[in-house]
Amino acid sequence: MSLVSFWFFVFLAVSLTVYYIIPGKCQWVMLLAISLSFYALAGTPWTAVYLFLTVAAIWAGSNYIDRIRGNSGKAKAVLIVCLIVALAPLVVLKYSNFFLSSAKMVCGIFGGGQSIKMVNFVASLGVSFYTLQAVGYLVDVYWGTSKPQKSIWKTALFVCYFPQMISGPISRYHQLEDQLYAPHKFEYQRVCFGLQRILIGLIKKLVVAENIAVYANDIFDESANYSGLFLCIGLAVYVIQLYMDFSGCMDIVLGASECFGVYLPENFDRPFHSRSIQEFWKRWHITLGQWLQDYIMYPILRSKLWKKMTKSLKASLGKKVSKSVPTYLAMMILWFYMGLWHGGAWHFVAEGIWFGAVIIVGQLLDNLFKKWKAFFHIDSEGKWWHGFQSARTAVIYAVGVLFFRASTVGRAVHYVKACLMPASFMPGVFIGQLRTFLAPLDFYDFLKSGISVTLGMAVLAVLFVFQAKGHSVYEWLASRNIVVRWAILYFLLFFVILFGMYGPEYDAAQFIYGGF
Amino acid sequence: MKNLWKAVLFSAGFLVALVVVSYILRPYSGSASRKNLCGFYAEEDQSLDVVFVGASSCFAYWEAPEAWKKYGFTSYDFATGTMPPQMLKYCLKEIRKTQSPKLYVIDLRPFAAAEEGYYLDKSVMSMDHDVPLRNVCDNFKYSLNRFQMIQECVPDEYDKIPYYIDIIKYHTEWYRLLDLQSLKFGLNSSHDSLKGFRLNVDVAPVRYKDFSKVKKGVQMSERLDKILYDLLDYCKDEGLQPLFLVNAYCQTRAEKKMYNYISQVLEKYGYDFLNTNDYFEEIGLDPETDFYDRSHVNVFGADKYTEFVGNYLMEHYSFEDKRGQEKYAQWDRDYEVWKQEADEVKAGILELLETKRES
Repeated sequence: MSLVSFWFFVFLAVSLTVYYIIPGKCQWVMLLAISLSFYALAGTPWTAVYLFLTVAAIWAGSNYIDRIRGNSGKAKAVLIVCLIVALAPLVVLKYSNFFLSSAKMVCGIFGGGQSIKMVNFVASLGVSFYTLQAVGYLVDVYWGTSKPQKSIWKTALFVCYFPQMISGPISRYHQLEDQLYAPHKFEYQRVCFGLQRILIGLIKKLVVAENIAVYANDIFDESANYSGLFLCIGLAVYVIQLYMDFSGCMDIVLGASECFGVYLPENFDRPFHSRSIQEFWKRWHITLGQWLQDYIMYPILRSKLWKKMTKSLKASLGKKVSKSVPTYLAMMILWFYMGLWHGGAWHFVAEGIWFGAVIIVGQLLDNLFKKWKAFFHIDSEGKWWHGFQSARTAVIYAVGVLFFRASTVGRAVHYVKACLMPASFMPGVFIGQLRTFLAPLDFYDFLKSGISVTLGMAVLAVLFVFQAKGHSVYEWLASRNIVVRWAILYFLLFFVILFGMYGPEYDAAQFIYGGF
Repeated sequence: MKNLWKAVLFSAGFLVALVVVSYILRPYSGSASRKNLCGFYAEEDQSLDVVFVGASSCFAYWEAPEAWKKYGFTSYDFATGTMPPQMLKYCLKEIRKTQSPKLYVIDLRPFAAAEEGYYLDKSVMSMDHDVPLRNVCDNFKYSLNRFQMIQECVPDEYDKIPYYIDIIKYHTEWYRLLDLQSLKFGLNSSHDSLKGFRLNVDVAPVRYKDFSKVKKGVQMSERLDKILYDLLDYCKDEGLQPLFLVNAYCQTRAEKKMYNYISQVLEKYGYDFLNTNDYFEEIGLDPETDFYDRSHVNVFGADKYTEFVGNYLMEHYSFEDKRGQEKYAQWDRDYEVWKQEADEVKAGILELLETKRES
């Protein structure tokens, strides 16, 4: 059951009705039942065994750690054991083939590895998301920043709360504990806001992302036929598709959760407004970035090994190097995992390394950039400079995304090379490639998609303007008189129904980030 | 409570708008099935004496306006292209919502078309194919009957949601909202002066074989048998008066045997049966000029067929002559439209015949 399927909305309507009919103290139990039903309907039900394994590990681990808090050595040992159990499904299901193929590649260099065979495991639905959430909770309890949840069922609800299960966001226990288990009275406006947010998500996903996906796929699948400007446009189209797909998915998830009275953390904050790639990753998939920082980078920096390294570097190379080198190393580990989290393949790893490298180089050259800016009298706060920085950030992000989209590192590199062929930027070449691209397309389908995307972007542009000014479009809408409000809502509803790409001829069921 | 009413009102408004938009987006493009069924919905309630129910073998044969002119009873072709036989019962139910005709003329050709091995040609689709199913579903108004029909008649392996809510399939055709012709179908109802008959400027010689001497009956497949009995039980339970009819075409020996079998079943129920293939010569059909393919007559053939069946109906059933009644004045106006269009089509066919003879 996809988040944009007819049955999801039936499921949501039935769930909400039951949720608000039953007594408040039973609501969390109902939420757990709804979440487990969703898991059974959306994924392969028997893979729930992995989910239960993770839940059991973190529930038992967190409570035991709390009981033996005085004995730090034992608590650490329990933490490690529980982390291994909780992470095992993710590592085995998702990364077995990555490790095996890497081993085969290495053995191949020495003429061996023929006997290494790939395995075929069925991954548990949302395993990349719920595992990180579960691990975060366990570590928080170990650090003493969260109290352990005594009930295994409540722990289970935290891990498998259905709106966030497939594509995140990756919530922290302290963000949800007061909301998930508390009774919620039906609040008309809250439910309205939630449903309106779902509507915006549907515009992003079905009207924009799905309509342009056809063309982005065409360009990527046939990238050998194109070069230069045409490939650059193809990449830009894919970046828009990815943003609309993922942020649309988040709007549906957060909107659905809001209907139940549970506010999940935001995952996007106008990322293309960022001035640097570092800022970009604080605005794009926010909860993953924060998680990696809090549970990978900072613990590494605080570790004994790193402290030792800092000390020895300080003695041999000075204070500045001793501060930066361990930080950069920790950052590279973070970005390595960031890439690997997206999938068990080297092109995902390359994506992470690209972003890590850009950030580190940016920091290394920061002083030089400052000098240049002073030399050219550039106003750092000026609109044009901000615009230039945002464009530069978008280009850097697009290059990274290329590694995400391409099936191998080689193909991504080939794409970049083809993009940079100067001759291909000639108008004649571009027009020739445009003709090749348009030749197999049905003109009316192309026109219809073009109109749909243009109208969709126009509707979303209004929304972005509201966001940029710090206003809530939902509150603005609620303050209009009923005729205007309903007219706008009817327009948006029919806009999705008419211009969205769904139905028997399309498979819009999968979100790009739903595969993790 | 106030908010609840607001939500109910908003949802109701949305549903009404969704239904209207859905009707407009349904494929029109001059399709016979859409014109016929929307035309039926536009007929005044309780105004029809006879309704022909079935496939193209109805709307290419029975000239309701001509019958009106000649006999004075009102009739309509409630027919869609390649109608699957399992949907006949639901068509009767749909008709009965607004009409109580004295006689239901039920076309038996959908059974022949559906029976495995009896397809008229390779291009004819099976009874479970999307197109024939949608020819009916996507032209019915939204109702419980439509819902039940889809539930029962559309194979379970299909995704039925786009059948129940057809805008899921047709939403990409949003440009129809800008087309005046499509907007006319906003209530799934549009007056049809031809009363369900569809004219076709075409002619093709066919090879007719007389199997009227074949008396043996061969049972149909179990599934079709069940559909037939289900239909007959429905007619019996509801006290309907049906006439089961086979229109004249180039039937095969196997089809003739199947019709013989059906006639034996009908006899048990006491229902009338007429296979007009047995009266090919009496009808006066000319295989050289009266057909446009082996399964359908053209307007010249339809003229002869309508006269033959019309006389049969007048002989076996009694209908009030409504000509001249003010309530039915529209039928006279419709006849004029029909006459003009039929004459144009006849002229076109004659021209075609002339060209074919010359070449």
